[in-house]
Amino acid sequence: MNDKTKVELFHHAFHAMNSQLDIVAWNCLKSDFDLVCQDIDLVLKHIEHTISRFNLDSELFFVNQKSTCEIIPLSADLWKYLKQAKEYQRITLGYFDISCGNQIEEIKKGKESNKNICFGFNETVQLNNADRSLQFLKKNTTLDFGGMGKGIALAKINDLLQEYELKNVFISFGNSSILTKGTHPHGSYWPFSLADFPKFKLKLNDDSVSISQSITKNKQGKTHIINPKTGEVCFRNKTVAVRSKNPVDAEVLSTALIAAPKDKHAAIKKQFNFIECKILS
Amino acid sequence: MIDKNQNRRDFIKNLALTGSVAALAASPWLSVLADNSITKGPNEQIQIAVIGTGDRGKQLIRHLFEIPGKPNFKLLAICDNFQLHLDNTLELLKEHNCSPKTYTNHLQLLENEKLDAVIIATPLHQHAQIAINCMQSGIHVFCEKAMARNLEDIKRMYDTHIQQNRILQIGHQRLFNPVYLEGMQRIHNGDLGTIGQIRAYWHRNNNWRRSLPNNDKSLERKINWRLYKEYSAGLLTELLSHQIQVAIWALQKTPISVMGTGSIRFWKDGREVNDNIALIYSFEDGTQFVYDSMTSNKKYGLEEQIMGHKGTIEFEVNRQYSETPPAAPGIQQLINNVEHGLFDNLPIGGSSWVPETASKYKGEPIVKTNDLGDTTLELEAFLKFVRAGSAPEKITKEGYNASIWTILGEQAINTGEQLHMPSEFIL
Ligand SMILES: NC(=O)c1ccc[n+]([C@@H]2O[C@H](COP(=O)([O-])OP(=O)(O)OC[C@H]3O[C@@H](n4cnc5c(N)ncnc54)[C@H](O)[C@@H]3O)[C@@H](O)[C@H]2O)c1
Repeated sequence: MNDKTKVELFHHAFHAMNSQLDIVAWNCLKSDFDLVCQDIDLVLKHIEHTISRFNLDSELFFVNQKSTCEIIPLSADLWKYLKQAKEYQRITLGYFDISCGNQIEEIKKGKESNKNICFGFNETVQLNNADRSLQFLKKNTTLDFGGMGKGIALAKINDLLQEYELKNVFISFGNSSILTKGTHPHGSYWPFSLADFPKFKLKLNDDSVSISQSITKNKQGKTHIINPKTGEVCFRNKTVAVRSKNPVDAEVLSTALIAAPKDKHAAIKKQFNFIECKILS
Repeated sequence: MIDKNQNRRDFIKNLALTGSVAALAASPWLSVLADNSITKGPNEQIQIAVIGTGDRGKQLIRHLFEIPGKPNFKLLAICDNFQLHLDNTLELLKEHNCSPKTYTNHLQLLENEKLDAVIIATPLHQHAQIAINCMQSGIHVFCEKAMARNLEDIKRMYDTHIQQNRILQIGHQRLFNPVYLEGMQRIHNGDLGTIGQIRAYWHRNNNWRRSLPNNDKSLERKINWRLYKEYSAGLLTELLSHQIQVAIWALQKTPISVMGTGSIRFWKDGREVNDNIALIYSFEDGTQFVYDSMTSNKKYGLEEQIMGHKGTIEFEVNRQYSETPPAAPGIQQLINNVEHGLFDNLPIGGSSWVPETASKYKGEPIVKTNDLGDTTLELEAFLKFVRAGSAPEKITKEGYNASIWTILGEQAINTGEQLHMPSEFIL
């Protein structure tokens, strides 16, 4: 029997998207691990440079500054993500909507919520296929990829892991987005649970998990998830965990289920391929 | 309330106990400071005089009286060739029930008093002669930085210290600052990895002038000596000297060359020294010390940034930043579990997670205290050294190398050339 404690485990961490990404891997060459980390760094920087709302140099920041009706040519990547976001808005029945950035911002500033109804992606944003450009149709529209960004990053990282043939990996992006491959060194899966809900346990292999919470800091603070149809902040004390093969799906579905009222959940879930979806409170 | 002095003392002691061999070799005064057994002749009072009782001299006197545990010393005399400063100092000393004799000439002081030690805080150009006279009279010397106005005087001071076997401690107080002591240990233990660059700067926005007593114009050069080349190298000797000392201490080697440039950009008021300087010091292993100082913008303040391939230290703000952040708590637990052969559940996602919080990485504090007290500590150490009869030689060398390279920096600016240390000044 081999010695359990002799496993060589590699770890690296990155600061990205106002959060920390940790990667742990084993049963691979150190040199491959280092190369993957270099590439992850580039991927994270590129994504931030494309869809960060706060990074003054990002393409999205530039787009968000533009006025109504101006034709804004887009990079291939931002175009792809916007198309994706538009589709997610459709299949979540409008409950996942990246065009609510301004409303979320207003709420963070403490403004009344009922004035914050989102008009919806299709009413506020026009994507022109002919020249890959965007036009804002309504004033004060701000795009916010906050509910998708980590998923997008993890999907790209997943491709890298495949390319480098890293088979046993655990990635945590800010504790709320998880990507795993293979197994823990001493078991047949990666065990995972939530500190607040110790009974909720997952056995992960080639998986991704996204956790969204509407619990507010100090129970009175400013959650970021709003119901786009009512403009209301989702104050319900709720945690949603979604396990899926696709990190972006997991991210979007967990957010949409916080935003949407309970009677819409079944219809939304029907649109997604997921392995497990749990609402905890 | 916890006694802050006790805290500081415990902190130093702990550093001295836990430091690696390399770290202690780089800061040998740490062990002396931590050693409470230096009590040779504890009943004998150390007889001290302060020469130069201007701003810094008065500050040093204040710090002397703040040394915890009231070391057994007597401020026997003060000496200054400016009566107003002597009077002000006597006034200050009343609260300590101390009325030292006064002198206006250090030679008379040396002739008349039996001293163990002096503290010199005169303008720079006076340091060498006074310090040498004192050491030749068998007196240990604490002298403010920088050592002297030119290379030859710096060397003469050093040689006298060796010949007379007298302590010569230069007032680079960062050597005794807990943040620096702890940070240097980490640097010398390799925590930052390979250091490639040190950047330092000191920016102020004022004219650096002092008002003249009774607006007496004849006192201009005496009061504002910092602005005149005869007495000072301006920003170099007054500010850079502290920061090049930090660089040399961090790297444990002296530079091999310096180039620089400077100008009077803003304060065209008759001053002779530059108000705007930039220098690059290079080290044998390729490390660069990149420096600038100016007095017409204060946005960036002052800092020394030690930059290694694994991390960065910013001393003045007491912060260390890792290039690779440490593992998040849950991940650390995972790593530990694997190491111990455990296969446990990982409580990773949790309430600690707040959605979309914009948390920029701000690094970690080097030490968890904002009570630095470095000047008190350097004087406490000096008294200990005096009582022991000697100080670690390295402490004098720190002052020497910092001072030599400060003056070489000035010469590089003046000549526009890349300068190396002339061999006669290599210790
Ligand atoms: N370590 C530090 O952080 C720090 C801070 C400030 C100043 N300093 C150093 O302290 C020294 C003094 O600076 P300062 O700001 O107090 O200047 P200052 O002008 O306020 O004081 C200098 C004093 O020396 C006196 N003096 C001049 N020639 C003398 C002589 N031959 N004999 C006796 N006294 C004489 C002057 O009359 C004056 O009172 C300088 O070397 C300076 O670089 C160090």
